[in-house]
Amino acid sequence: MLTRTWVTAGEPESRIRVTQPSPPRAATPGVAGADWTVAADQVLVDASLSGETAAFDVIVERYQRQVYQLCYRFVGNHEDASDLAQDVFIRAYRGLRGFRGRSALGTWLYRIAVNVSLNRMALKAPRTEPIDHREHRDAAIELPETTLLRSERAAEVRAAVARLPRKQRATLILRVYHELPHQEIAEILGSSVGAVKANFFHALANLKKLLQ
Amino acid sequence: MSHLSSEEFIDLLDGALPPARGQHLLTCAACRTEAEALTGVLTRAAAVGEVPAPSPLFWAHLSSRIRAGLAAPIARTWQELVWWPGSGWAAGLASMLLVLLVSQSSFRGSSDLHLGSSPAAHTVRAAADPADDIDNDQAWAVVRTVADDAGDDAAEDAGIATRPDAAERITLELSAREKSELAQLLAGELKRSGT
Repeated sequence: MLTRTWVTAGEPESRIRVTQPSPPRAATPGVAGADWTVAADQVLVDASLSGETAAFDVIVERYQRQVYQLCYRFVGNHEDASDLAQDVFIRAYRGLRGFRGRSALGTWLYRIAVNVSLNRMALKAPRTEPIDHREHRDAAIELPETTLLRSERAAEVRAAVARLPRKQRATLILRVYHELPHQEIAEILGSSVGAVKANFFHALANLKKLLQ
Repeated sequence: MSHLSSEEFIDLLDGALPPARGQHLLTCAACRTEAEALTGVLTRAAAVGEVPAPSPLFWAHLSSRIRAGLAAPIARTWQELVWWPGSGWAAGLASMLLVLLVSQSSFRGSSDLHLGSSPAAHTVRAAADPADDIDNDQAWAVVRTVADDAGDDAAEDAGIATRPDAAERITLELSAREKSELAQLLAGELKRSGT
């Protein structure tokens, strides 16, 4: 069975590899001052439920980048994304007892992040940041006109993505920007692989219309 | 041979379309055009760029915020306050709210007939808009009253942590859009529950 291995917190970009088996379950550190950073997710979950706050700190450290980036993709600005990321982990902690381990911890956190982000967007139109805050290309080797054009095109795409229906938007973000396999997206969105593919198709078709 | 389905187009983009179905593209200009369009828009979407990296200090700050948030007492949002599982009073509240909203809407509708479209009519209608004057809005007054009348014991039984004047505070803080959203949620919940 294919399982997902999440990148470590130190890596700069959220990339999911699906062909590697999950790491073996590490032994529980078990003593005060133990190194939780090497513990497997389920061990950290169990320890967190036992009151080891340091274990949950490691969960946060391990996944905060991916969660933040996912939230950012939905809301398009740092302020809201950081608020949402905080909310995701607080909800995760309070709902940790409900995590059964049927899916990967990362998948479960993504599910919370998607729901929190979509709910936020339903209530409050996101304030997208100015273009120059979002583009981090090497401007030194690029003509200003080229940078501006690329920024404008990127802004058009972001605006179009934001206009997609909820599930289509979530599917597109998870597939295109987080490179999740369809099966994982199905688990996150609570749907079937076929529905995910259909949503992705319609997301692209609608995006095409919106960008014309 | 039939055209590619939506799933097959996605398989094509993933490079997972069975060769037998791929043969169809050689003979079908429509599917070929669609595939090229999808590839183009996918490429354009993927080129948007990465999420800008926040300050390196941000991650430690976020961890601190999460710890602080976990240490703080649970404060329910207005949605959670209304829809917390087991809050039996929510259905009653929703019913009363909707009845009032409908009745108020009907009342306004009949008023509008009499007032016509004169500037004065607009003034009267604007004043009656709950978004403009929440204190005089009957529907929201009832929401506050019902929520307060539900009592702390009932709320605690339902798992809700309330504070004095919580409903008053929530309704006063809601924007017009949030109130509209709440009304939609209530209507949806009623429809779902068959109330």
